[in-house]
Amino acid sequence: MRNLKLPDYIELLLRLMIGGTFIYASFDKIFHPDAFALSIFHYRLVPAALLHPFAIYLPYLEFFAGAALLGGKYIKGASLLVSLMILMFIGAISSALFRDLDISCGCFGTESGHVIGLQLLFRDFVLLAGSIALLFSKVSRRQRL
Amino acid sequence: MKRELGILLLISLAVSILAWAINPDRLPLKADIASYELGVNFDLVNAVDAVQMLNDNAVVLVDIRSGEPEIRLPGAFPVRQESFDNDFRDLFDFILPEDKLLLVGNGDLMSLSAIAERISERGYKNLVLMRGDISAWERAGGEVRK
Repeated sequence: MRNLKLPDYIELLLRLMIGGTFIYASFDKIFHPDAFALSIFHYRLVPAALLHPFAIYLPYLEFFAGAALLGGKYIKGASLLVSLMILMFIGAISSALFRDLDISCGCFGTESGHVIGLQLLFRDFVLLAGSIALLFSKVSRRQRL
Repeated sequence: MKRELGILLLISLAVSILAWAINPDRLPLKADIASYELGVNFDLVNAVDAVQMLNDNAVVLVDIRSGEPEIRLPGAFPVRQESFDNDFRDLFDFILPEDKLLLVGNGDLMSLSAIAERISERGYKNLVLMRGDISAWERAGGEVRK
């Protein structure tokens, strides 16, 4: 597993897809941290003292992890970071679904109306599979952008 | 891999701290959970966005602070809890139901929300509430008169 060999074009495609998704997801949150904090609050998982620091920090984490994947720099670290973030999102969405919370996910922006549901979990599992594949693949230096 | 992870975590931390430090009023580090719990039914904006909306002539400014505040907001209509009916009558002559009203107070969202509900009951639904107090407004470049 550690030396999973992906075809170069698959690896590049995964990096573009996951990196692009994370960068896109970060923009609105970076510009509207107050609305993002409200989205996080609705999950009722983050303690009050950490709510705003988390709302400020997480979008930049998404941005730099996505940028690293897109740029082909620190791919292993970025794919580990992305995998951990996706696991966190899956946990948060599952928990909200379990508690029957009728909230929007706040995934791609603060005003998007993505209500949480199984389709979001499916999307996150697809992204997780891709990021784990990148994590355990032999990164080719040739294909860096 | 640990090194790469550490670098990404640190870069993100440094940039987020820098971005916050440039404009701390966008989101104070300490969350006022009461305002979240209130489930305010109106749009909330930070002071920077509020000042921008006023500069763009997109809103009518409403000051809900009670009494006669030392620091005044030029051009704002006072609509206070204690004299709501009289104040609203004055405002009523200048606004249309579709006008967007920006409500500014002393940072207490509960008071803002209460006034907003009363205005909303009179048919003026296009309301925006500003998070933060007048000092946040001032720091964001909003005009004040002392």
